[in-house]
Amino acid sequence: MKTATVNTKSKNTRVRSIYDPQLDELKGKILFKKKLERAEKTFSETIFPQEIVDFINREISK
Amino acid sequence: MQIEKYTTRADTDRLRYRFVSIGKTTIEKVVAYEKFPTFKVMELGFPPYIEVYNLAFGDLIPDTDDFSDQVTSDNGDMNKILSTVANTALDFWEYNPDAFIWFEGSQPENQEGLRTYLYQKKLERFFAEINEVANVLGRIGNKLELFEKGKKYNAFLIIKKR
Repeated sequence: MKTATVNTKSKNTRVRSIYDPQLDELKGKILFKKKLERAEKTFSETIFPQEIVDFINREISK
Repeated sequence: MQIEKYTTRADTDRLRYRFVSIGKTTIEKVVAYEKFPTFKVMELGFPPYIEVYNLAFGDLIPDTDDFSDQVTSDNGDMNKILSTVANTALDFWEYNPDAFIWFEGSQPENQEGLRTYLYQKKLERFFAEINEVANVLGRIGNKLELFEKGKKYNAFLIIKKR
């Protein structure tokens, strides 16, 4: 008698990266300097309302 | 995200990743988590142990050691690329569990805001899945709020759930 099988394993939910020593050569080097500078500016100019600060503090104290 | 992903290679700190996009052509991609200076984080009232990393990714410029996030490669595998980039966050958090991720789209000329909007649509599509592991905050105007579908954000702060 044939039985149907269902593959319940989720498809590829996480793929671990493989260590590559060559990438250690990029340590300390900023790869996307302009983007980082712009992002730093955006981040610095961001207003964190009190409820968001409270939310973040709750999260980090868990 | 339950979409096919590319295999990534990473450095010891899990701050730099490389993978190869295979579509109409073959393109080497790089993903980088680059840290904001601690004082910028503290200025906003956060304790010094909180680290915020900017997530950026782009293409290796052929015949150089440089990278660009301005290229529109149109390689026909965008979902797979974004899924791969999102997947690196899980590796990143394994090594940097308390770090926050800041993310905004790059802005090639004449495409102002387009990429950020594109990433937002992907975040919306996979929000339930992402929300299982992380809290997503969106920046609207210059104010941060909890991410809600349908709103147009210009940047995102992603915090791993404890």
